[in-house]
Amino acid sequence: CGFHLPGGSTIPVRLRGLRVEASGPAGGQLAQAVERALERDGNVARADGPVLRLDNISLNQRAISISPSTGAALEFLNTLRGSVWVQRGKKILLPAEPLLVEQSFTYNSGSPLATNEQQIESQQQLFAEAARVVLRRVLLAPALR
Amino acid sequence: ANAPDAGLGKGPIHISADQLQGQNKPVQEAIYSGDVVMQQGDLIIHAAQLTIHAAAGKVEKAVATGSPVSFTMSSAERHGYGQQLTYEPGSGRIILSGDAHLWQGKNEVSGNQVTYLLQSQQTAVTASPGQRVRSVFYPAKGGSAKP
Amino acid sequence: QDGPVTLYADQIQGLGSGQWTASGNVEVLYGDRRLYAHQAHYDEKKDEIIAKGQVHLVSPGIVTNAPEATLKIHSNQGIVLHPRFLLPSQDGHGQASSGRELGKNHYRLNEACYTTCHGQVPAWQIYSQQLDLNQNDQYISTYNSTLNVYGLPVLWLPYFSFPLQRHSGFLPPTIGSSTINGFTLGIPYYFDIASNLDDTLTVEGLTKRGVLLQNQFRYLEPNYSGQLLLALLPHDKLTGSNVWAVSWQHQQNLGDGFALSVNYNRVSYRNFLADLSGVTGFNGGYIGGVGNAPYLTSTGAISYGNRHLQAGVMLQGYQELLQGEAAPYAQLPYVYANGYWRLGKTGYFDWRSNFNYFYASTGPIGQRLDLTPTIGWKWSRAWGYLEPQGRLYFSHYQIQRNGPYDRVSNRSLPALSLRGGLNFVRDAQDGSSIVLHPMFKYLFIPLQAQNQIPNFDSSTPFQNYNSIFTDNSLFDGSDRINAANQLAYGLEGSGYNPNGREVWSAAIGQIQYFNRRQIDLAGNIVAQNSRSNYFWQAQYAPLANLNFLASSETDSDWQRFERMDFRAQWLAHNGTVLNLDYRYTRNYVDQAGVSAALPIGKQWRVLGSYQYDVQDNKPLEQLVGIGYDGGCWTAQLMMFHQILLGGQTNNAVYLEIVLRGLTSIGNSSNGFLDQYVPGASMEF
Repeated sequence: CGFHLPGGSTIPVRLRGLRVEASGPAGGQLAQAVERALERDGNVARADGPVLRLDNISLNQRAISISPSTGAALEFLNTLRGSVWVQRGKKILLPAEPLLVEQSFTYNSGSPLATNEQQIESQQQLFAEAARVVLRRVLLAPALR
Repeated sequence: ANAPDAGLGKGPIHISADQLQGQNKPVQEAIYSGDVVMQQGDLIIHAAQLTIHAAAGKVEKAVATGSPVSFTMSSAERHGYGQQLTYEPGSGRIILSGDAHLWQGKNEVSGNQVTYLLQSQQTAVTASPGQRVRSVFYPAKGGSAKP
Repeated sequence: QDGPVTLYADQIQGLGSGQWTASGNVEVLYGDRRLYAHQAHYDEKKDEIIAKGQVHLVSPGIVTNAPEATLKIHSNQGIVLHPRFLLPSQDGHGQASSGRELGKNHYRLNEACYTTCHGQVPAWQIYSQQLDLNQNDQYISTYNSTLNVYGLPVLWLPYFSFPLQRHSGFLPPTIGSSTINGFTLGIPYYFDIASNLDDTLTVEGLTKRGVLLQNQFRYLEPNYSGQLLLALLPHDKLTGSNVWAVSWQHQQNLGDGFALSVNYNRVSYRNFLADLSGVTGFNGGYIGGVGNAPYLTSTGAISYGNRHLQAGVMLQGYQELLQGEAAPYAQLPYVYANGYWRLGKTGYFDWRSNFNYFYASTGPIGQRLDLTPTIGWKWSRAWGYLEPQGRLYFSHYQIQRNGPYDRVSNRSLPALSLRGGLNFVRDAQDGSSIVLHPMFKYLFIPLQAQNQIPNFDSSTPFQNYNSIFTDNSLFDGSDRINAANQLAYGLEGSGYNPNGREVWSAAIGQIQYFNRRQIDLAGNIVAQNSRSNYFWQAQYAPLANLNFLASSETDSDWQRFERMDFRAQWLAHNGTVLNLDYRYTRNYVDQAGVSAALPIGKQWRVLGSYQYDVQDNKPLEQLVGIGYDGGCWTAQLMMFHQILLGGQTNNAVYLEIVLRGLTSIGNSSNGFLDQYVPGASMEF
């Protein structure tokens, strides 16, 4: 039914030397996750290479369910938003499209330390998944292969 | 040739030129042409052609033309040029007209006609209709410019 | 600045001694200014221009019309009679009996009025005995002013200043009432101390409680910046005590990669946030929603960071706001050093280490050292990848006041894993494509009982599709490391439109356990099934700003949902916002919520939010709001029902009036609204 295993290296030839530029309050964390994933796929960023733009990346956290009896938050939702595109100089290789990735974690009234750890772990998983969503689109985009 | 003592001119008027045509009747008039230089005190006028109107041996009016005609007055740090310059020693008036420019130090005024009164150091600048006069002032440090 | 002064006019008279008079169509250009008038007298010695007759002065950021003006050119001073002025970027305008320029872009106007409204009777206008307009620092301060609303004097203000930048400005006057606070009226005073220091003092009357004083001081220096918020409600009638709150955030760059950061928050009364956050700018280091913050975090840290290494020392303490919980552990200090290095072309070495000193009033006190080196390598092609990884979990504990735990204990557990996956791609002619990505991860971690080790920060989080591919997926924190001899497998799919936008994605995964024994949160060895539940998630975005998200855990024979979370959000360009939420976790939460923000015509907007507990069949928190945009002013009336910590409910009405150009919306209101109608903003 038309599914095939694409040949060639993980980083398409047209994206050789891809470097990452990010903006927004959470841009730095997402850029690090994406850069490290690209390194593991063998990428060597070059100053004159194409640019993977992670624009206006923001992380919002809010209580998404509360206990009717105690009024305390039961679950928190982390939402990562932004916009992603690829360009080389002025030429847009992959047009800007929105990024939305979410992850929730629970409030453990027994120990705030545990909830803090859950928050850290949940946010790490959120950035790891966001990096996978970004690279899944960029590295396998038909326009770039 | 030395013209008789002029009014304000502060001393004699000296004029040098390539040619001179003079006439007494009906009116005393002398036309100098070709690299004309007229000097009176520290007022020096350079022109292509100069017409002197005199009466009873006194210079009534000097009309100079050139492209442009220019004058300098080093004592008042003044100089200027225009298509025509009219000098009336009696009233001490210089009128530059036709794209006239007058400098006082670095300050410059320009317009269709600039009238400069030697006695009072006053200046009047007018523009031809539809046009405007332009002047640029460079205040010295501390903002006080020489008179 | 001694630039030239250029004068154009129909005619110019030089009066000698540096005096010039220009008349007819006069235009004077000097520095960054332009002056037009019928007539102008310029005195070079006094460096002064006296302009008369329809004087029109264009300076950076301000345009002034007046019958007459006397301007000192290079010392930027001057007097303008009966000026009418306009601030183009703020659309602010007004007039005065006279105006003086005190210095570059700094003007003083007497008997001035100012507004951003248009029309004969402006919605609001300030009449001030004296109005100082400082464009360098971008603020206006007024003395002895009255605020007129539709021509009626409403408020007398001895001193009153407000910033000119857009979207900044002091918090607007707030009016409201609530079952807890009674009728409330708040007047803020904004003091612009310097271009990088400002202070806002808000005096808030609460009929049922007293007077709340709240001071927010902000400072911005090249190397450090921060804000200090102090709130005091003396003799609070509700609690019979002095209610106070402190929130201090400070960031400082110490140079050479070192940084200091402080985030200290303390309240004297647990429901301070819920009762008063609608009015205060208090955003405290709490995690989560406004009034439902379960505890307040305070941290102080010195950190160092470069491309490879992040290290630091942190003191972290908590204030538990929910009575009746175990005393929370503080981490004093918490020292960490993490590093990440690339090995060869596709290898990596990741180092994580931290030392913790756990202290609490009850329960064991102890120190824990964690060392977690990881080394991995990835072989990948476009069609697939393999990633072997080796990790060591090493922890050393020393416990005082040891209770049932050993005084000294060590635990070191290796974690060996192999991860891999294939990428099947199908491209359609129109450029759209689908990617199918089967993936697996084999993980081995030996089984070790850990009931001799206290639990300071571990918990059993709810799992999801992503977590089943991590190493210690059963536990968060470092005190419990799960055993593993398992194979996690999953199938991911994602579809892209011709533009390359991800239209849908879905994933489903499960873990096959070969080890039938596991440890629980207490560290005891317990039995484990052969297979985990199914974890699946899906996301569908038919439009770029319309998203449906679902995430679920279904038991292994597809009979029952353990968890089912669903969310839909639509953020239209015209400000329409629609949210739908359903959260279900067996024996934990079963709640649904809907919220919306709908603009009606150009000037009205309605807001609504309704959260409902399906299990207890009762409403939770609701909000109804209506907003009107009158161009130079906006008003938002909001009525909401909220549940406070401890279960008590509170009905509140909250009116916020913004006089655009004079006041602006505080970020506390935005945080407040984001909790009820995510995606909507107060500034509509």
